[in-house]
Amino acid sequence: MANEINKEEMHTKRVLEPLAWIFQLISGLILTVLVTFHFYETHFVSHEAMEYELVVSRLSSLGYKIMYALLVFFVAFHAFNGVRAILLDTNFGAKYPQVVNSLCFLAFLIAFGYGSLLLLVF
Amino acid sequence: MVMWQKWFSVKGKSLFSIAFSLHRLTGVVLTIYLCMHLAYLTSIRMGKEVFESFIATTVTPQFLIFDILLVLAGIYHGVNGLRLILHEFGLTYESRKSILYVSVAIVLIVWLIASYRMYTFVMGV
Repeated sequence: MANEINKEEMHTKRVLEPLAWIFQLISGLILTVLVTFHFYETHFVSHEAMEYELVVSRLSSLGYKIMYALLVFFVAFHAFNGVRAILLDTNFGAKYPQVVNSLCFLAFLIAFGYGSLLLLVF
Repeated sequence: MVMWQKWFSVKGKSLFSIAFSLHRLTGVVLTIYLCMHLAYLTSIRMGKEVFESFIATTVTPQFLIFDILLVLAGIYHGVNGLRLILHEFGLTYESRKSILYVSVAIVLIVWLIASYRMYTFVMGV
């Protein structure tokens, strides 16, 4: 079971709150699908996928907007929640957890807000 | 030794510890890339000329090696993450060493396919 697994591998679980840990797993699973789709769409479908007109046309479509909004949300959460776990694992993080939590939450908001702003322009 | 310095130390470590260190290292690399990617996308708002000049600079054979290494980091982080999720729910725990080897094999196969595809994409083959 999980608590029998190598102690080092469970660092992230130990420093995160139960809900943050579960959401880290769920967002990781969702990102596997979304990032694969994004990579496939931009590198496998056609050589023209990165042309300005095609990029703008994707960003203007409602379906892609929803997909990219979800991608930005989950990737920003997963990235900065992961960074938070790493920082909480340091002496600094153990001493000032509120500082680490606040900075990572702010970084998540900036990344998600900025990514969403790009989607709203088109 | 500072915590992150331990990630680079291989001596006396189990394969699972190395996998853990690589998971965190690739996570940090991908987070830095995420910030760069969001900044890069600003060029779309600046119009066709600016965006295409960015593409002309970055989608080149010179940048290909960085892209290929980045894809390796992404595939490793994803596949290793799925392995950790399996173990978290107590699945395949008895064969965790085999699962680790299988996941490394999957990473290499998917990486080679993706790299070949990116090579043909950049070279226009």
